[in-house]
Amino acid sequence: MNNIIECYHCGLFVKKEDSLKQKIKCPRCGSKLKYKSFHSLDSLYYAITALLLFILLNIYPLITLSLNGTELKSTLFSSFLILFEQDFIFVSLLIFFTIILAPILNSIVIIFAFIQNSMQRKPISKRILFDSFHFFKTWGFIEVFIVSIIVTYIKLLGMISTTRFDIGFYIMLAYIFMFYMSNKKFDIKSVLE
Amino acid sequence: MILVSCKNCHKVYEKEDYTSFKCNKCNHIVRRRVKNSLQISLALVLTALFLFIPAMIYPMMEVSQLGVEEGSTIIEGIISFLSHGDYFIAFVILTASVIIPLIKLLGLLFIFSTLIINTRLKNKTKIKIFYFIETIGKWSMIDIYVVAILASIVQLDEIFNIKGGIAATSFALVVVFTMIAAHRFDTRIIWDEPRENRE
Repeated sequence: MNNIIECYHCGLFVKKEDSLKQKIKCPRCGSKLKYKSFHSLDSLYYAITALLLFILLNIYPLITLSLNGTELKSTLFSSFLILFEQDFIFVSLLIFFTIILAPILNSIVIIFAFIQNSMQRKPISKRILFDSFHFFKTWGFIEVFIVSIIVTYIKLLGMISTTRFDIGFYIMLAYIFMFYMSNKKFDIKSVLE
Repeated sequence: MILVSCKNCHKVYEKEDYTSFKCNKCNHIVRRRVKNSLQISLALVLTALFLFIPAMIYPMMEVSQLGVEEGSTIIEGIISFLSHGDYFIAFVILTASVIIPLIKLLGLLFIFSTLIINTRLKNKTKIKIFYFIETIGKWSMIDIYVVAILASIVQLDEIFNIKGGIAATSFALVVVFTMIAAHRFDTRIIWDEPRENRE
């Protein structure tokens, strides 16, 4: 039973050979089949760093510009707050969830998974950890947000020439790297074992 | 004897028939195919298509400059760039905000219809189209985020002020519904024999 995996792209059951290769291809639809993913403690360190960077990120502005002597700036939190104040409840909550809540909880789930693995008691059930990890991973769009900052920068630069990236933007680049690495080196199936 | 596996944790079981049961590894219900995946995805895609209309007609953001308020829809924005001679920016906005969301929806609709109508399209191509749609799904959120950042940054009361518009909500819903539809769709039914795919 342990030598058979299903291709979730086409539903074919594939017998895997005992090779050290991590990826094999489905013979029917040609999609990659992953049956062994990389899992290491590095993920925990990346996740903690990511969380700390996220706190810093909220202090500094992402983009600043000066117009008629007034300094205007935008932070991660204000972009959610302003739409909330303008009564765009749905859009603002969507933004809040996808760029603030989901990335934070994603890192927290990774940290919790590591803590629980070395603990006797399991305060959070395996299923909740497993499901929430997948949920926050699919609905966290922080990498999309960074591209939209660049797009906004280009748009604003056409109107106001004093637009520039601020410290927050560069912290965010580092944050994205940490966030990406913590997810890459983490295999959620480890909580089920 | 048949084989069935848990889509969630990928554990493979050997069973007598395809009745659903609970996975003993992750507690999710194991079914041969995701329940009603085509019906739900199709419903969501149609909803998104209808929401696409208000997203195009109504203003995405309201720009007020020196007391003059002006709504700008996506189409108007493209036309104004064209009239200024910025063909490249107009083209980029046209693809990113109009063509790609529409291609995603029509592509999904096309894949769903090929399940009923026979086409000469290979199953491999269908799956490639589907995974392309799924990967670009979240990148349509760029438009929403740009409005949010612009609105948060340009706040000079009467002189220069940007607010969100009605279309932002519709556009966000289009993106979210398309994404849920793509997530919910079980691509394995593309490969199933006709009539066999009813659980």
